[in-house]
Amino acid sequence: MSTKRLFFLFPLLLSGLLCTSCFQLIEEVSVKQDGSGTAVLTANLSQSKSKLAAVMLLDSVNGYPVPSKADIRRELEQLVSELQQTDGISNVAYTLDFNTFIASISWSFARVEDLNTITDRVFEKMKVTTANHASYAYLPATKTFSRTYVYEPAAKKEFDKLKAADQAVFENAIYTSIYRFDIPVVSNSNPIAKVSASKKAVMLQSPLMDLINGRKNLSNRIKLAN
Amino acid sequence: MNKLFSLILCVSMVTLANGQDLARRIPSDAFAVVNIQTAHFFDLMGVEDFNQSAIGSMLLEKARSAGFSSVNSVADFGLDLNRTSYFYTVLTDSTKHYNFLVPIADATVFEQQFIRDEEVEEKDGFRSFVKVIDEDTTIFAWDSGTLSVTSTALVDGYFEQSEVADRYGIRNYNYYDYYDEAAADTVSAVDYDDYGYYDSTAVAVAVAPDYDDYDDVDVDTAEAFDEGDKYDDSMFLPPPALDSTAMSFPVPVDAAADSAWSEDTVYELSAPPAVEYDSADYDDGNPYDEYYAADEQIKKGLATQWSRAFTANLFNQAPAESILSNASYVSSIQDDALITAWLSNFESAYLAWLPELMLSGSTGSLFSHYGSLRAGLYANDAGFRLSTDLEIAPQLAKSYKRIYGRKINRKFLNYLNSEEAIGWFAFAMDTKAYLEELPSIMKDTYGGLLGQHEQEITLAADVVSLLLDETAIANVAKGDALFILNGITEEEVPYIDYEYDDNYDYKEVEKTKMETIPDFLLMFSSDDSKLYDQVTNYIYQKGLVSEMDGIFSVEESDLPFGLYFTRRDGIIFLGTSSEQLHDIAANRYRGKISRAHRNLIRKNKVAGLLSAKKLATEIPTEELQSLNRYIAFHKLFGSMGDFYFQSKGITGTHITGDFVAETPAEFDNAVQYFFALVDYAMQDQ
Repeated sequence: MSTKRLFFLFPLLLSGLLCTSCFQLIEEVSVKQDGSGTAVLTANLSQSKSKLAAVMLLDSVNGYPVPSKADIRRELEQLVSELQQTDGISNVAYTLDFNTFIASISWSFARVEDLNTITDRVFEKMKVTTANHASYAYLPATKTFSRTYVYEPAAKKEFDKLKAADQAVFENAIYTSIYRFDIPVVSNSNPIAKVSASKKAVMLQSPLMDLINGRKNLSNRIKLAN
Repeated sequence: MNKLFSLILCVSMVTLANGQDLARRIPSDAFAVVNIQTAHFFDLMGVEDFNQSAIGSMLLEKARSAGFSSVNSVADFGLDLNRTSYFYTVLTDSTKHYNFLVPIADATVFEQQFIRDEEVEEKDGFRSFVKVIDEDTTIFAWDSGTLSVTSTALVDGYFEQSEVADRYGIRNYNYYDYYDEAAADTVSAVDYDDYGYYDSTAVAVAVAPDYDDYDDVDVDTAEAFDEGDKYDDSMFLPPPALDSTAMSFPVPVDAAADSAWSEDTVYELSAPPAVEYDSADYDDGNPYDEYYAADEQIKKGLATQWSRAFTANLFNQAPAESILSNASYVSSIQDDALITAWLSNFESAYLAWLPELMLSGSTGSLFSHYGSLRAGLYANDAGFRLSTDLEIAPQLAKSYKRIYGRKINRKFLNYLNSEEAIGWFAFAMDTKAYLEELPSIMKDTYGGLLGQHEQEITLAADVVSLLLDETAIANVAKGDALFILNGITEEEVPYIDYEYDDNYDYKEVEKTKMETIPDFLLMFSSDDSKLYDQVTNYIYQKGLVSEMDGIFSVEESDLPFGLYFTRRDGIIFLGTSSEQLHDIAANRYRGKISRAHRNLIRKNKVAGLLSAKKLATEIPTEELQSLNRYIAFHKLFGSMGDFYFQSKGITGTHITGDFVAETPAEFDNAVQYFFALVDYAMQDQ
């Protein structure tokens, strides 16, 4: 540990221990009638930025190594590079702001199904634990967009293995998904999802803990107007 | 430590004690001795009070559920509540004996409680039984006044010596030996008969330990056996001869195809294996597990046998010189301590428990500079005090004396407000002396340890010494510092959230939340104003800091709090409060240090203090979200006294240090306070 890090250890630990954590994950998918579209994944850790700034000064926290800013940037750039090589994916871009601790990655896709191959990799690279086995599909003929979500009990088991301090990080975390279409939504099967005033967007918000515990389901079948 | 040992320890801890008589049974070369002076404990807390405390009730309840019926008080175990109990270890080249000596008040009562369902032997004036606890054999032995609880561990390295292994029939078979042998096709004609089966007769001869020949035992354990004639050999466990039918036999590679190897024969000769194998292991034919189990069986037999001899010796022959003739140990005994611990030699401790250090062939002087270690736990009306005293070699003491030669800057004390500070940490050392002494300490300590790099370490130490201008560095940071945690404040910090419109388009909005931020001040002496000016000027020019009235503010910091620094009167101040720094720079700040804090800082080389009570009041209620948590937290910590530690550095050839937990005013003494805290904590659950 460098002198600088050692020097700040005590006050920062004190600060870190007393902070409660919170973060948001936002998944935004815009689908055109032909099944192509754009997607943006955003991780907003801004509410925990004081704690994260403090943690970034340390080599490890709660036994986990803390990556440097350069490491995080390198990982994201590598992810972008990999996505650019993926069939059906284009216009890959990312933002990373260490002042606000907000990161996002966006891309265009040729078919909705292309989302399936990359979503997992994105979450994996962003070190975000999800209980989510997502499966997206779009049938242009019936103009039906569907997302199949299967609760994974293993995620809860993994979560239970975490130390209490690490579990607390997820306590107030929020997951948001927004699906946008260029034609109106006729029906949506998930009771916790809401349709926008314009009828062209569907939003679902859930505490991440409810997904980890399997109390909420993200599956949805959205029928669009013909 | 297993439960029974814990119980013995608990009971012995609450056994009133004063005399040193049992110590006469401890040999002068005991490696470590712990005195449990429970008499003092009950001076501070009555037996009845203890019985009714949460810990006492739990102990009695556990004892009753463990079969100690009719136990309603710690006085009912039959143990003497007025004499000291001991725990000590005796090391030899082959064994580590761990022993409890607990005084017995009434052997009849003790036996009623402790020996139910045990097979008790009586010989030569003492009674005993053997109990296997966590697979280790423990011997309980007692006479009318003393209970001895002995557990013996073997030193693995001793049995790895080939002549020792041969003597006791230990194979030390390596897991890979089987495959190496198979690969080399070196199946020994001696070991296998014509059918490829292992010659069990040869094995029996090879492994039968010669237990009659006590002279063959290592020197130290042989001493214990000198008295062996007095005992009936039948008291010892029978030699752990291997049961040939319990062994499975290695299948030579070419024997597998031998038509004479019928299934029935294999079953008959190889079953039952001592260990349960899965089929994969079984088919493999590697005898490692069997041999290992056989070795362990022999070792266990030896451990039990030597443990019995140790116990017999204890009751029948006083050591030629008891530990009471060891001046270092005697000096560790303090009548007013609850517990004292004494370790004869620091280096031996490391080598006994970390023998790997010897693997490199040399330990250098890593531990040889350290002598005996003494520790004592005291309790009185002021609080608990844990005191330690480590003896070090004169040469090292001389170096440390130079390093700790500085006194803390007296001016620091002007900036400590005892009534407000939650805690502080102060130390004083001499940077110049440290830098000058470090190379030789490094060379001396680590040079030998990393034998192959000794030259490089010596060279590096000399180069470091050559390159550093110790005086110049010492001018920048003289080596003393004081860190003060003034408080924990709540601060409004911004963060980014999202606002969604009716169409779920969203935009970023800035919101704020309250966060707890530490408020601290760090100061250290620095005489080199020129360098300070140069550095501050440079970082100011680079835009890393801004400046106002001589106070520099760190810009674009990732830290969750503002950071300011200034220099005044030969001291560099670094803190989180702009206001405090401005007051200091303008000579407006007036601290108010208590006499106790002043003495702690001035009279020690290292000292620190934390006020749990003040910390409790500073934690924002938001952090203690539920009412229960809030009440529990304040009740538990709000009534706690201060915690502090202090070290005067080197006194003669000793490094000493104390950790103190003060007793709050409303309690008579530290023991009562501790038990009240435990009572409360257990009620809270």
